Amino acid sequence: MARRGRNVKIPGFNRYLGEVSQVIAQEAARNITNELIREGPWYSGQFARNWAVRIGDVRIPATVEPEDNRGERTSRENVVAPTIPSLRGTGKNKNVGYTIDNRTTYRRIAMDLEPGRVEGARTISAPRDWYRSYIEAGPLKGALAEAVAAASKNPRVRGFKGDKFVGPTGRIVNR
Amino acid sequence: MTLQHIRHYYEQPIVDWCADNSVDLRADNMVEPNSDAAGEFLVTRFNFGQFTEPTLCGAIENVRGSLIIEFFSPKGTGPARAQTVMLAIMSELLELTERPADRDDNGVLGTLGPITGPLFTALDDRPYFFATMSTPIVASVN
Repeated sequence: MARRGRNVKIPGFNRYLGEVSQVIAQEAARNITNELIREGPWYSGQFARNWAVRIGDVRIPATVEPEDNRGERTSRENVVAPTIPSLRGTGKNKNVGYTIDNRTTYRRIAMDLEPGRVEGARTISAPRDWYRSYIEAGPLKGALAEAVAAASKNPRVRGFKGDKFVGPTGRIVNR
Repeated sequence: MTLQHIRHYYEQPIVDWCADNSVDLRADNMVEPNSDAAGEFLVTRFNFGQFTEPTLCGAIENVRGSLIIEFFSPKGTGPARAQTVMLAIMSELLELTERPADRDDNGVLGTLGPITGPLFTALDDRPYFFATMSTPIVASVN
Protein backbone atom coordinates (compact mmCIF):
# COMPACT_ATOMS: atom_id res chain seq x y z
CA MET A 1 0.00 0.00 0.00
CA ALA A 2 1.36 3.39 -0.94
CA ARG A 3 2.24 5.59 1.98
CA ARG A 4 0.56 8.97 2.15
CA GLY A 5 2.74 11.84 1.15
CA ARG A 6 5.13 9.80 -0.92
CA ASN A 7 5.65 11.33 -4.35
CA VAL A 8 5.26 9.21 -7.41
CA LYS A 9 7.75 10.32 -10.00
CA ILE A 10 7.28 9.70 -13.68
CA PRO A 11 10.60 10.50 -15.32
CA GLY A 12 10.29 13.05 -18.11
CA PHE A 13 6.60 13.75 -17.52
CA ASN A 14 7.01 17.46 -16.73
CA ARG A 15 9.21 17.90 -19.77
CA TYR A 16 6.60 16.13 -21.88
CA LEU A 17 3.84 18.42 -20.58
CA GLY A 18 5.99 21.44 -21.31
CA GLU A 19 6.53 20.21 -24.85
CA VAL A 20 2.79 19.71 -25.35
CA SER A 21 1.88 23.17 -24.09
CA GLN A 22 4.58 24.80 -26.21
CA VAL A 23 3.38 23.09 -29.38
CA ILE A 24 -0.24 23.99 -28.63
CA ALA A 25 0.67 27.62 -27.95
CA GLN A 26 2.63 27.83 -31.19
CA GLU A 27 -0.20 26.25 -33.20
CA ALA A 28 -2.72 28.56 -31.53
CA ALA A 29 -0.64 31.64 -32.30
CA ARG A 30 -0.41 30.54 -35.94
CA ASN A 31 -4.17 29.93 -36.22
CA ILE A 32 -5.09 33.17 -34.51
CA THR A 33 -2.73 35.28 -36.59
CA ASN A 34 -3.99 33.76 -39.84
CA GLU A 35 -7.59 34.39 -38.81
CA LEU A 36 -6.88 37.97 -37.75
CA ILE A 37 -5.31 38.60 -41.15
CA ARG A 38 -8.34 37.08 -42.86
CA GLU A 39 -11.02 38.74 -40.71
CA GLY A 40 -9.46 42.18 -40.42
CA PRO A 41 -9.94 45.21 -42.64
CA TRP A 42 -8.12 45.58 -45.94
CA TYR A 43 -7.42 48.81 -47.74
CA SER A 44 -3.91 48.69 -49.15
CA GLY A 45 -3.00 45.51 -47.30
CA GLN A 46 -0.62 47.31 -44.94
CA PHE A 47 -2.61 46.45 -41.83
CA ALA A 48 -2.85 42.76 -42.78
CA ARG A 49 0.90 42.59 -43.45
CA ASN A 50 1.87 44.01 -40.09
CA TRP A 51 0.69 41.51 -37.53
CA ALA A 52 3.49 40.45 -35.19
CA VAL A 53 3.96 37.66 -32.67
CA ARG A 54 6.39 37.93 -29.74
CA ILE A 55 7.21 35.59 -26.89
CA GLY A 56 5.90 36.61 -23.48
CA ASP A 57 3.58 39.31 -22.23
CA VAL A 58 5.26 42.21 -23.96
CA ARG A 59 4.28 45.40 -25.70
CA ILE A 60 4.56 45.36 -29.47
CA PRO A 61 5.34 48.91 -30.49
CA ALA A 62 3.18 50.67 -33.06
CA THR A 63 5.81 52.08 -35.39
CA VAL A 64 4.49 51.57 -38.91
CA GLU A 65 3.03 54.81 -40.22
CA PRO A 66 0.21 54.80 -42.79
CA GLU A 67 1.36 54.50 -46.37
CA ASP A 68 1.08 57.56 -48.54
CA ASN A 69 -1.36 55.93 -50.93
CA ARG A 70 -4.71 57.57 -50.36
CA GLY A 71 -7.26 56.25 -52.80
CA GLU A 72 -5.22 53.20 -53.71
CA ARG A 73 -7.53 50.49 -52.49
CA THR A 74 -6.35 47.05 -53.54
CA SER A 75 -8.20 43.77 -53.62
CA ARG A 76 -7.60 41.33 -50.82
CA GLU A 77 -4.80 38.86 -51.46
CA ASN A 78 -2.83 36.25 -49.57
CA VAL A 79 -0.44 37.62 -47.00
CA VAL A 80 2.59 35.85 -45.61
CA ALA A 81 1.86 35.27 -41.94
CA PRO A 82 4.41 36.48 -39.41
CA THR A 83 6.96 34.05 -38.06
CA ILE A 84 5.87 32.37 -34.84
CA PRO A 85 8.95 32.11 -32.62
CA SER A 86 9.49 28.79 -30.88
CA LEU A 87 8.99 28.63 -27.13
CA ARG A 88 11.78 26.09 -26.81
CA GLY A 89 14.41 27.29 -24.41
CA THR A 90 12.03 29.51 -22.44
CA GLY A 91 12.75 27.42 -19.36
CA LYS A 92 10.34 26.33 -16.67
CA ASN A 93 8.26 29.48 -16.70
CA LYS A 94 4.76 28.04 -16.89
CA ASN A 95 3.15 31.31 -17.89
CA VAL A 96 5.23 32.06 -20.92
CA GLY A 97 3.14 32.47 -24.03
CA TYR A 98 2.73 34.86 -26.93
CA THR A 99 1.64 38.42 -27.49
CA ILE A 100 -0.06 39.07 -30.82
CA ASP A 101 -0.60 42.61 -32.02
CA ASN A 102 -0.38 44.80 -35.06
CA ARG A 103 2.51 47.19 -35.67
CA THR A 104 0.65 50.00 -37.43
CA THR A 105 0.15 53.31 -35.66
CA TYR A 106 -3.57 53.22 -36.48
CA ARG A 107 -4.11 49.68 -35.17
CA ARG A 108 -6.66 50.57 -32.46
CA ILE A 109 -8.84 52.35 -35.01
CA ALA A 110 -8.50 49.45 -37.45
CA MET A 111 -9.58 47.10 -34.66
CA ASP A 112 -12.54 49.38 -33.81
CA LEU A 113 -11.22 49.82 -30.28
CA GLU A 114 -11.27 53.54 -31.03
CA PRO A 115 -13.81 55.20 -33.32
CA GLY A 116 -12.86 56.36 -36.79
CA ARG A 117 -12.99 53.41 -39.19
CA VAL A 118 -16.66 52.90 -39.95
CA GLU A 119 -18.30 56.27 -39.24
CA GLY A 120 -19.19 57.82 -42.56
CA ALA A 121 -17.35 55.16 -44.56
CA ARG A 122 -18.97 54.30 -47.91
CA THR A 123 -17.59 50.78 -47.89
CA ILE A 124 -15.91 48.76 -45.18
CA SER A 125 -13.82 45.66 -45.71
CA ALA A 126 -14.48 44.12 -42.30
CA PRO A 127 -17.63 44.28 -40.20
CA ARG A 128 -17.75 46.78 -37.38
CA ASP A 129 -16.25 45.36 -34.16
CA TRP A 130 -14.70 42.49 -36.10
CA TYR A 131 -11.83 42.21 -33.60
CA ARG A 132 -13.99 42.15 -30.49
CA SER A 133 -16.36 39.69 -32.10
CA TYR A 134 -13.43 37.43 -32.94
CA ILE A 135 -12.05 37.52 -29.40
CA GLU A 136 -15.25 37.53 -27.40
CA ALA A 137 -18.01 35.91 -29.42
CA GLY A 138 -16.63 32.47 -30.16
CA PRO A 139 -14.18 32.26 -33.09
CA LEU A 140 -11.08 32.51 -30.88
CA LYS A 141 -12.21 29.47 -28.95
CA GLY A 142 -12.44 27.57 -32.23
CA ALA A 143 -8.90 28.56 -33.16
CA LEU A 144 -7.65 27.28 -29.81
CA ALA A 145 -9.51 24.00 -30.22
CA GLU A 146 -7.98 23.55 -33.67
CA ALA A 147 -4.56 24.14 -32.13
CA VAL A 148 -5.10 21.27 -29.71
CA ALA A 149 -6.19 19.00 -32.54
CA ALA A 150 -3.16 19.98 -34.63
CA ALA A 151 -0.81 19.45 -31.69
CA SER A 152 -2.10 15.93 -31.23
CA LYS A 153 -0.81 15.14 -34.72
CA ASN A 154 2.56 16.79 -34.18
CA PRO A 155 5.44 14.31 -33.91
CA ARG A 156 6.96 16.38 -31.10
CA VAL A 157 4.05 15.38 -28.87
CA ARG A 158 3.47 11.91 -30.24
CA GLY A 159 1.16 9.99 -27.96
CA PHE A 160 -0.79 13.06 -26.91
CA LYS A 161 -4.45 12.69 -27.86
CA GLY A 162 -6.07 16.00 -27.14
CA ASP A 163 -9.36 16.46 -28.96
CA LYS A 164 -11.28 18.89 -26.86
CA PHE A 165 -10.25 22.22 -25.46
CA VAL A 166 -12.09 24.26 -22.87
CA GLY A 167 -11.00 27.87 -22.38
CA PRO A 168 -9.24 30.09 -21.72
CA THR A 169 -11.48 32.99 -22.62
CA GLY A 170 -9.86 35.62 -24.78
CA ARG A 171 -9.01 38.99 -23.36
CA ILE A 172 -8.54 42.10 -25.38
CA VAL A 173 -5.38 43.88 -24.47
CA ASN A 174 -5.04 47.53 -25.27
CA ARG A 175 -1.68 48.99 -24.48
CA MET B 1 -35.75 32.68 -29.58
CA THR B 2 -35.41 36.27 -30.60
CA LEU B 3 -32.22 38.25 -30.65
CA GLN B 4 -34.13 41.29 -29.44
CA HIS B 5 -34.95 39.52 -26.20
CA ILE B 6 -31.28 38.74 -25.57
CA ARG B 7 -30.29 42.31 -26.38
CA HIS B 8 -33.02 43.53 -24.05
CA TYR B 9 -31.66 41.33 -21.25
CA TYR B 10 -28.24 42.96 -21.44
CA GLU B 11 -29.11 46.46 -22.59
CA GLN B 12 -31.96 47.17 -20.20
CA PRO B 13 -29.66 47.80 -17.19
CA ILE B 14 -27.76 50.30 -19.33
CA VAL B 15 -30.95 51.95 -20.57
CA ASP B 16 -32.23 52.26 -17.00
CA TRP B 17 -29.00 53.73 -15.68
CA CYS B 18 -28.84 56.30 -18.48
CA ALA B 19 -32.47 57.29 -17.87
CA ASP B 20 -31.91 57.67 -14.14
CA ASN B 21 -28.79 59.77 -14.70
CA SER B 22 -29.90 61.84 -17.70
CA VAL B 23 -27.20 60.52 -19.99
CA ASP B 24 -28.02 60.45 -23.70
CA LEU B 25 -27.98 56.83 -24.91
CA ARG B 26 -27.53 55.83 -28.53
CA ALA B 27 -28.13 52.21 -29.34
CA ASP B 28 -26.64 50.58 -32.40
CA ASN B 29 -27.74 51.82 -35.81
CA MET B 30 -29.68 54.83 -34.56
CA VAL B 31 -29.41 58.22 -36.17
CA GLU B 32 -27.06 60.40 -34.18
CA PRO B 33 -28.43 63.82 -33.37
CA ASN B 34 -26.26 66.81 -34.14
CA SER B 35 -23.86 66.73 -31.26
CA ASP B 36 -21.13 69.01 -30.11
CA ALA B 37 -18.31 68.76 -27.67
CA ALA B 38 -20.43 70.25 -24.92
CA GLY B 39 -22.49 67.11 -24.73
CA GLU B 40 -21.87 63.62 -23.51
CA PHE B 41 -23.42 60.43 -24.69
CA LEU B 42 -23.19 56.71 -24.33
CA VAL B 43 -23.20 54.19 -27.18
CA THR B 44 -23.93 50.50 -26.83
CA ARG B 45 -23.57 47.81 -29.46
CA PHE B 46 -24.24 44.12 -29.41
CA ASN B 47 -22.63 41.61 -31.75
CA PHE B 48 -23.74 38.01 -31.87
CA GLY B 49 -21.26 35.24 -32.51
CA GLN B 50 -21.56 31.48 -32.30
CA PHE B 51 -25.00 30.18 -31.41
CA THR B 52 -24.60 26.47 -30.76
CA GLU B 53 -22.27 23.91 -29.23
CA PRO B 54 -21.90 20.52 -30.87
CA THR B 55 -22.48 17.50 -28.66
CA LEU B 56 -22.74 13.80 -29.39
CA CYS B 57 -26.48 14.14 -28.95
CA GLY B 58 -26.84 17.08 -31.31
CA ALA B 59 -26.21 20.78 -31.13
CA ILE B 60 -27.34 22.68 -28.06
CA GLU B 61 -28.17 26.35 -27.96
CA ASN B 62 -25.50 28.46 -26.34
CA VAL B 63 -25.67 31.97 -27.68
CA ARG B 64 -22.46 33.93 -27.51
CA GLY B 65 -21.80 37.53 -28.31
CA SER B 66 -19.96 40.66 -27.43
CA LEU B 67 -21.47 43.66 -25.64
CA ILE B 68 -19.67 46.96 -26.22
CA ILE B 69 -20.16 50.17 -24.29
CA GLU B 70 -18.61 53.47 -25.38
CA PHE B 71 -18.86 56.80 -23.59
CA PHE B 72 -18.02 60.12 -25.22
CA SER B 73 -17.49 63.16 -23.00
CA PRO B 74 -16.05 66.58 -23.69
CA LYS B 75 -12.29 66.67 -24.07
CA GLY B 76 -10.25 68.80 -21.75
CA THR B 77 -12.30 68.33 -18.61
CA GLY B 78 -10.42 65.46 -17.03
CA PRO B 79 -11.24 61.78 -16.91
CA ALA B 80 -13.36 61.71 -13.75
CA ARG B 81 -16.77 61.85 -15.40
CA ALA B 82 -15.91 59.07 -17.86
CA GLN B 83 -14.52 56.92 -15.06
CA THR B 84 -17.63 57.44 -12.96
CA VAL B 85 -20.00 56.56 -15.79
CA MET B 86 -18.09 53.48 -16.88
CA LEU B 87 -17.84 52.08 -13.37
CA ALA B 88 -21.54 52.72 -12.77
CA ILE B 89 -22.46 50.85 -15.97
CA MET B 90 -20.07 48.06 -15.03
CA SER B 91 -21.74 47.76 -11.66
CA GLU B 92 -25.16 47.45 -13.33
CA LEU B 93 -23.90 44.77 -15.69
CA LEU B 94 -22.24 42.76 -12.93
CA GLU B 95 -25.65 42.24 -11.37
CA LEU B 96 -26.37 39.98 -14.34
CA THR B 97 -23.69 37.60 -13.09
CA GLU B 98 -25.22 37.10 -9.65
CA ARG B 99 -26.57 33.65 -9.00
CA PRO B 100 -29.01 32.09 -8.46
CA ALA B 101 -30.94 33.97 -11.11
CA ASP B 102 -34.28 33.41 -12.78
CA ARG B 103 -34.99 33.82 -16.45
CA ASP B 104 -36.49 37.18 -17.32
CA ASP B 105 -40.01 37.68 -18.66
CA ASN B 106 -38.80 36.76 -22.14
CA GLY B 107 -37.21 33.52 -20.94
CA VAL B 108 -33.65 34.79 -21.25
CA LEU B 109 -30.90 33.81 -18.84
CA GLY B 110 -27.36 34.92 -19.43
CA THR B 111 -24.10 35.91 -17.90
CA LEU B 112 -20.99 37.88 -18.73
CA GLY B 113 -17.39 36.90 -19.29
CA PRO B 114 -14.48 39.02 -18.13
CA ILE B 115 -15.01 42.71 -18.78
CA THR B 116 -12.19 44.30 -20.76
CA GLY B 117 -11.65 47.91 -19.85
CA PRO B 118 -12.65 50.55 -19.27
CA LEU B 119 -10.02 52.05 -21.55
CA PHE B 120 -9.72 55.81 -21.86
CA THR B 121 -8.40 57.83 -24.81
CA ALA B 122 -8.54 61.48 -25.83
CA LEU B 123 -9.45 61.28 -29.50
CA ASP B 124 -7.06 63.03 -31.87
CA ASP B 125 -9.47 64.33 -34.45
CA ARG B 126 -12.68 64.71 -32.48
CA PRO B 127 -13.52 66.85 -29.46
CA TYR B 128 -14.19 63.90 -27.20
CA PHE B 129 -12.63 61.98 -24.37
CA PHE B 130 -13.45 58.41 -25.24
CA ALA B 131 -14.01 55.49 -22.88
CA THR B 132 -14.84 51.94 -23.88
CA MET B 133 -15.30 48.50 -22.40
CA SER B 134 -16.59 45.22 -23.70
CA THR B 135 -17.53 41.82 -22.43
CA PRO B 136 -18.31 38.44 -23.93
CA ILE B 137 -21.80 37.16 -23.13
CA VAL B 138 -23.36 33.73 -22.97
CA ALA B 139 -27.13 33.39 -23.01
CA SER B 140 -29.97 31.01 -23.68
CA VAL B 141 -33.67 31.55 -24.31
CA ASN B 142 -36.46 29.27 -23.21
